[in-house]
Amino acid sequence: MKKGIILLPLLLLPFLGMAQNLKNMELDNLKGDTFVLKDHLNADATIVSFWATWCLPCQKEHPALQQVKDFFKDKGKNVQIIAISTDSPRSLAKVKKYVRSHRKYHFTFLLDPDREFSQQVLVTEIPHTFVLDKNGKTIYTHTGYRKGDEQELIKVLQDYFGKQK
Amino acid sequence: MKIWQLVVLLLILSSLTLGQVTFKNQTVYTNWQEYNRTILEDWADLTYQRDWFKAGLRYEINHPPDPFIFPQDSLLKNYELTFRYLQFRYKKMNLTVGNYYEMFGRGLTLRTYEDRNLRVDTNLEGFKFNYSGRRIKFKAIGGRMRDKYNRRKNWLWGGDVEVKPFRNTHIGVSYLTQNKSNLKSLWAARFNYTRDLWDFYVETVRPSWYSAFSYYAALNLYFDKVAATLEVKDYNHLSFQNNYQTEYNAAPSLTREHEFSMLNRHPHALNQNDERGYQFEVTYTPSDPIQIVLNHSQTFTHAGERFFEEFYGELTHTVNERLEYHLAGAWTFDFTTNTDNITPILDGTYNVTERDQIHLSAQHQHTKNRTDLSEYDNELGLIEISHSPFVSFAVVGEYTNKYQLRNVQMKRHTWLYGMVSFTFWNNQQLSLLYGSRREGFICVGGICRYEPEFQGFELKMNVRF
Repeated sequence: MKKGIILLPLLLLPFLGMAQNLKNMELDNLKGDTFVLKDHLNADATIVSFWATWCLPCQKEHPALQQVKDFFKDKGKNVQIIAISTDSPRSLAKVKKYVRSHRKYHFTFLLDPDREFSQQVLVTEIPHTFVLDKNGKTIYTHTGYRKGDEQELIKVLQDYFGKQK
Repeated sequence: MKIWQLVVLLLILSSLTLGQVTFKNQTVYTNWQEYNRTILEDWADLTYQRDWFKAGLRYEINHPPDPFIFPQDSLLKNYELTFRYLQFRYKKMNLTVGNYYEMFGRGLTLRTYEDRNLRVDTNLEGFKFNYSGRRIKFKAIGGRMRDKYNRRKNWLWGGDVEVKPFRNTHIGVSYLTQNKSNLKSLWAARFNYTRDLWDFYVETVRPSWYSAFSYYAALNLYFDKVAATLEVKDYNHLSFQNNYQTEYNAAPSLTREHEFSMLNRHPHALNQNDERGYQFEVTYTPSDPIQIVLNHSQTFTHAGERFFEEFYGELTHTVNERLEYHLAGAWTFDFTTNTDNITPILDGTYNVTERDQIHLSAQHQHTKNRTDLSEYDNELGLIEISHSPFVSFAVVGEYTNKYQLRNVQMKRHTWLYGMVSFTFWNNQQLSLLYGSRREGFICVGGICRYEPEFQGFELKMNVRF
């Protein structure tokens, strides 16, 4: 058994960098309409952030994500931001309240109340952020938020857009 | 077949079929100096996904089981495969075979979930079928729920249908039944109406073992600068348990979930068998940088005894691009300890550069015991310096005069720990903690775990590929 535990990380080495598949994402928005990511991969890149109303770092990450979006908008790139709330269904009102009082965030707000999708993509801590390329493939993930983490997102996206040229 | 052989097989199959593999590993290594005890906990999750097919497993290590969480440690295996599933998808249908989580409505009848901070995992083992259409959603489940020792007993069967007869309106019905138990079955109905400026939700449940209805209702109002929520609850013999006394349901607790640790010193633990009450919250955003939250909640027993009451206010002010602070205050009555608690908090962050930040938090709590009329104070201070995304340092100290005033011989009145966290190699995280940490509660949604006083060393590592 112990051998297996030692072997496990070694066996995974060849798979480093393999992407987390978010392409099959199908979640409801605040109006109850289903959002299918595959149908919305028309941006130059997509940032998917898992958050909750009770999570302070998550809320601090939101202006930073808007900053990233604005930064690339000025450079002619469209970065789509999808914020997935992991609040329980009874906190849906808090999510709505939050969205209404933060209209400055040009995000697509989606709901994962039973955390089924979060579990599927192994998100156990929030905020958890994924950067997807224009085909929906994950190119970067990050857990937590501290001031300055947005600089890393900008760097990752700059590198990605640089390779596209 | 041994676990590592399974893993190898899964990986070989993955590479052959060019699917996607995700691996996540979470390790917690704790050295309790006081008890001369070391504990290794590990959760390794592996998933494979390709178009219509998905498979996953979780392997857990508890070596040895933490006696504060697992008092009967011999019941828990130290190494165990605790979660595995296969999932098939066809158009709007999904079939899961193996372990899964599920929730009906708002959790009054069924809510199985995992929360590692609480060390709660109530997954079901069996099958789940979902159909998700435009006007109708249907779920059917069958399975046995795990308790904390990963034991499974009664079979649970159930179904949930939700229809959308008109725009903005949802109506749902659930039914659940289990074998070999006096707590046989329950059914529930729910109604949800949503408009742009307001929405309303109500759910009622009738168990087979007690002739009373339980219900939960919520009304939300949304205006430009003000939003308000009123929730009411009445839970009467609602706790639906298997023969290991693990609950299938987790109804909304209707108390505020606090971010600041001092406010979790006197939490309310949900009692689904005898509880009624309400919660009211108003959020006012006069301008972009300012937000005010006012919250009030009360919980009673059916005999009219007040169990929990809280008044809470919070001001968030973003002064400029560099400085933001939270000013919060709460008055809390907690019947379990029969105490009144007044808690003021000042918490702020200052951005030194684009990547460097200082976080300071000062939290005070004055407690008055209604039984013996004794009064005492608790103080908590936090300093955190971070350089994104690579490193952060934090020092947290706490002081109480509780035991000095009561003239109780206690070894400790102060607690102090330091923590350093590193992020490296594309989101791999390592944190090290050394020192002493005061006992307290970790609470999510009315479910609480008591964490005892700690003195020693703790290592946490998250690896994800």
